[in-house]
Amino acid sequence: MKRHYRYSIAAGLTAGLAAITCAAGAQTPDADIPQLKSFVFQKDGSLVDRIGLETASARRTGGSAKAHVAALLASVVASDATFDAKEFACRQLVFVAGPTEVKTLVAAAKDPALAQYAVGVLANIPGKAVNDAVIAALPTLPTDSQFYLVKLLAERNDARAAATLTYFMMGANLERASSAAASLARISGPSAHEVLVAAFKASDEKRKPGLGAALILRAGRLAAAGNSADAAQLYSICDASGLPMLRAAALRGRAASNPSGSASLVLAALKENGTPRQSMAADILRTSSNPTLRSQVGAALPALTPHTQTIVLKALEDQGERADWPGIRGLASNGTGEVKLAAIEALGKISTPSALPVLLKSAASGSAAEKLAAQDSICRLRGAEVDAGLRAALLNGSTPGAIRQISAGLLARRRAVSAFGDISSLLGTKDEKLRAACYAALRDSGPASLLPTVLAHALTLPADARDNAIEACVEIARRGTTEAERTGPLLTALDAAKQPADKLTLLTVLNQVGGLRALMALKKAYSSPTIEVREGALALLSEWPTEEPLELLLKAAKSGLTPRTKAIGLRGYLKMIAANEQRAPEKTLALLNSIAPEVTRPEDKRQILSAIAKVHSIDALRFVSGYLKQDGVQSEAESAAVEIGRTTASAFPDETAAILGPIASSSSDDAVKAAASAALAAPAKAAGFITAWELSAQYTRDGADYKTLFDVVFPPETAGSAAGNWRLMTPITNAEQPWLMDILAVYPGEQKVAYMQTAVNAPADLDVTLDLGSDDGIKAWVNGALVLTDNTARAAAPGEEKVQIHLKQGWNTLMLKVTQNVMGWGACARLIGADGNTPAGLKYSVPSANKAR
Amino acid sequence: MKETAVSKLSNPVSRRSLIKTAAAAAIGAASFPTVVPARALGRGGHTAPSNRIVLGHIGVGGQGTQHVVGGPWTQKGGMTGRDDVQVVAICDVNQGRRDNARHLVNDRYGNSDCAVYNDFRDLLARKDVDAVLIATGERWHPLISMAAARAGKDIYCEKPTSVTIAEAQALRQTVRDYGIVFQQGTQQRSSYSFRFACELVLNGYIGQLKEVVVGVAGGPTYKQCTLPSQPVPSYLDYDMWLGPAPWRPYNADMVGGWMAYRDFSGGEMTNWGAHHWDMAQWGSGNQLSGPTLIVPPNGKDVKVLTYHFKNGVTYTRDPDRTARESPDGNGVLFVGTKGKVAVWRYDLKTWPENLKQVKIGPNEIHLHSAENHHTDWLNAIRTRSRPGADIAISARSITISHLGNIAYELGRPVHWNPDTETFVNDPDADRLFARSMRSPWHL
Repeated sequence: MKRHYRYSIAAGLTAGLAAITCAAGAQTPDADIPQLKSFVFQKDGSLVDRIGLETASARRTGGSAKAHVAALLASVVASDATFDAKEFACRQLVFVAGPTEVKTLVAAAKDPALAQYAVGVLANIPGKAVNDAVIAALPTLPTDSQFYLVKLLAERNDARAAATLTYFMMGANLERASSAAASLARISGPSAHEVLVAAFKASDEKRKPGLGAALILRAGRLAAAGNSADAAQLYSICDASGLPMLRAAALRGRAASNPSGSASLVLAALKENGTPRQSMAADILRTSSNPTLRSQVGAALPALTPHTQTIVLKALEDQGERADWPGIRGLASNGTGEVKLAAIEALGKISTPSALPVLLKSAASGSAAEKLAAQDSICRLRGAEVDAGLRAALLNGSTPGAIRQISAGLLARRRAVSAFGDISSLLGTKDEKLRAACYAALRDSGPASLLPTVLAHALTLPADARDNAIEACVEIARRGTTEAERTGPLLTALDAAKQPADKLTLLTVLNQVGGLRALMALKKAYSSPTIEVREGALALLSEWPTEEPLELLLKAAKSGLTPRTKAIGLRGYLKMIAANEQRAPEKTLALLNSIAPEVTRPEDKRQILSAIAKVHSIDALRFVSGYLKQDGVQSEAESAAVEIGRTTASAFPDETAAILGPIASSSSDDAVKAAASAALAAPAKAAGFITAWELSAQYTRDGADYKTLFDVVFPPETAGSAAGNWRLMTPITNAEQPWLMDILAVYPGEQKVAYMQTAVNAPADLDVTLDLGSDDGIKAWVNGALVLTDNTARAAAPGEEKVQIHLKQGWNTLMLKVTQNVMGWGACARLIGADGNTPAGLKYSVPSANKAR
Repeated sequence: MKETAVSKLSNPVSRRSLIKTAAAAAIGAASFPTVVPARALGRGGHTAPSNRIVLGHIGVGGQGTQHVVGGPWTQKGGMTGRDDVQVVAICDVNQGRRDNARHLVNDRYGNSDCAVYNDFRDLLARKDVDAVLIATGERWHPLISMAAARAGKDIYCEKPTSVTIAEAQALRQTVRDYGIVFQQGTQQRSSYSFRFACELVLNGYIGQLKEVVVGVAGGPTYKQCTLPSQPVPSYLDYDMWLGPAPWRPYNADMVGGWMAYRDFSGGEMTNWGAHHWDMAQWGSGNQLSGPTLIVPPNGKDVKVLTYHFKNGVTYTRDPDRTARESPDGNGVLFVGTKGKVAVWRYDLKTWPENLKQVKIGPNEIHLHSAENHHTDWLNAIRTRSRPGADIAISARSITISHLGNIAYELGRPVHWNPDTETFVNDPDADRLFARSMRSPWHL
């Protein structure tokens, strides 16, 4: 189901406007705005919503309508209206106020709480009237209001603010001092400049960073305005300050204002290992278009420290320019450690095809990291000549073997289509490593059209040397876009094949490629007159990814022509059963029961036990218990019982203890003894958290994420334990979170939902707190009634949810629905009584067990 | 035995103490090299304590705590789960949250070393802190980031970048002024599916790009909070919570749901928009540019918010359409003359289908690639390079969101100059470009 965003923004906006207009009826700004005077913040925002729309309408209309609304709003600000009303009126005035409202707003700013709002309006009213009104009012204002208004003057570049700002800049409040300095920095002209410089020079250590920031701000503004002389003076002051961050900032300014001299400045800073100036120098290099700078850095590169070389290489890499720097090639050849690696990476991003020989050498003979980086870099090198160089290296018999092998792989990674012919021409080479590299290259990128050629070569190899060739054939065949394209050449070759070994090779490839035609070919091969082919086909069928061959395997196990055929059939049958852990436990048990009576040899019984160990049900434990006394399989039976018992111990404590108890006390294998004891003790380690749980199937919907799935109703919600393919959950999969029931351990993946259910037996009617945690969202039902819903994304932890619930005397059911967004998936639950402890006498089981009660 | 964070860090050595030791050893040796900070050292693999980047977290609510310990939208294990980082400080104006985060950090490390602060300035004053991860509300993002930059701290700052365009521009300038490594928390930049989708588009696999449809849902956000006044709870420093935002009385629902109010946020346009408009920018090649015309829906011929670009591409905000045409509506749909690419948090879909199998070749455009967003930032700190969501990129992307909100608010088309990053002869729009800040906070 698709995720729907049914809220149409256009429709929503239009409908909202219409609804408010209708609700307003004949209400107008003249009627509404005066009502604002007594407004206090409240949940019903209809009045302010209306006024907002009326103001917006007046703004759009402009002219007298806009002025009229502005006057109405200003009258609220000037009145004895509530703070909330004045605040709202100021917000609306931002859009409509003009010079007429200046006096009212300056007066309003006397209230420090309103000053921010008033200044917010005044800032948007053009003209000198604002400045003059502020200057006139400034001496009469309280300090807090003065601060707002004098900063406003500075924003408007009014030099008359300088004196007051200087007062604040030298005051005790450092944040305010920095703010005042930043405002001074915005005022043009010599007076503000000189004041700022003098203040910085006279300032103490605490004040200097804030004032220095203002110098940098001012210098940047001066430079942008073309006043490079004054900017340079400020940068010099910052550079001389000794403060590392100011010196770094000054470096950028100095380099920008003096392009011809920047190279030496930047180079010098680059050599200051680990300082902010070095970082800044690297950033300047990264963005510089100055050829002198790059050439000087290039020349100096070999002599820089390794750390500096690394950051220079990264800076050049980010610049993205294609350049042929011998220095980088030198470092890629002769550098060490991180530098060499960085140089190899940089060559791929910035260099030209001329870097190919250096990179090929590293790809063939460097450290593991260098080999990978060099190959990645070769794959990034642009230009047809790179492919040509690699082809030449591949085909030239005098090229070192390692380089020829790598060249084959790189041509494939570069998708050099024209080279596939060259690569396939080498499939017949006697150089085993080169041949393997060519098969690997074709495996990774060879088109389906090459399948007949590669097959033909593959069948010329000795039967025991075909692994690489088979892998290549499988991957090439899978690139076919139709089943005929994928399997056609294989079936043709199979028909033509005479040798059993060739037939088995082709059947192996078909088995991997899959599809109906491949399955039919394998089944047909099982009736081959050649026993080698017949048994090979049977073994391959046991690897088939779906259970279609299961019946054939069972038949072979029971009535195969030879004991060996029977053995292959039995092993295949058991292997296929064990491979599907998602199958319902009862179904798996039924499949095993269908063969168990036929199995007499201990080695075959061991396989049955191996398969049953993965079936987590009490019936499986009972099944295994029948083998505990049988000769030759006792050890395997004990291991299987313990494995199953880890899951059944919570929901079926008595029966599990009856079977595992003797193992824990008397097994001849100490490890098994310990594991049996641990399985029996595990539920107690969860310290009151419920560990007897059944887990449903997992549910998904196309296009639906965890948030959407949360409210999609799946069978467990409608049919409870009658639907859901329930299975027991294993408790304590993570010792650090013994309370967590881990769903992710059963179902990997994201954007899903599953259900957990348990049964709680209360000795009497009880009111308790259900304490839950979940990863991610959770719903909870008690005795079928929904008691909690929280559609969230989070990690699980105890106590995330607490719900009061009622337990009736006897058995109660608790079902959880838990969504999975990403990463972890699971839940925890416990019951807490009024005294904060787990109520005495509670017993836990699972609903499927209760059905039998 | 599984190696745990506790066992690795049970006796951590602070970078600062090592530097002191090294400096002491260097006395008298004039040629001894300058001590290299932690951020300049190390690269991958196991990291010695002295080479770890020393980190402070500012803002540890839902997302901020995920950054500390991991969660659905951050990297597994968070910063405390990394071998190459040492979290030493937590700052939040909510006492409960900062104590919870401190507990989580100390629990991970098996010690009690993590310090807590109510005021970010106190954390920034620590000389031993190399970098900060800021996850407050966006009203604070520019100011704390700018203060951090001036203090020489490298920055990972959650999205959205800012509440106004002016703030984003000021932050960009400050980060550049001080040469700081800045990563915006737009982690889709470090996602394979989004990168690959954008590479397909930029390399012409869907022909010429015509349109980018962005699935950002939610109503327009220029709502003022009018909720009634309530007593401020003792665990909250409300004055610092408000920060530069206009003062108004406390209300628990407002503090819990601040994203609904314009004083604090641009709503979904900046929340999810910070991610998805950013992807539109990335895939269209406009990441360092912007639109020339922004047209809000008018109920007539323009049904959805539409941006027009010089290169002929349009962006539209149309979650209904992304829901119709893509498996997941909450994503981005690129429409070209020869095909389409839809991409969302978990996957991508292409038309034609086989585009998904494409391998970007050597002569094609390769976008910035990162293992994950945290690692990308930390690598950039060590090599003094720029991470994938650098401020130059995120300032432009958040401007897209703000421009849309301004067009909504004005209810008419708005012209924008992407070169000067100013409105074109539009005094009404200029009034929404910046906002007054509560004293003493300033840009």
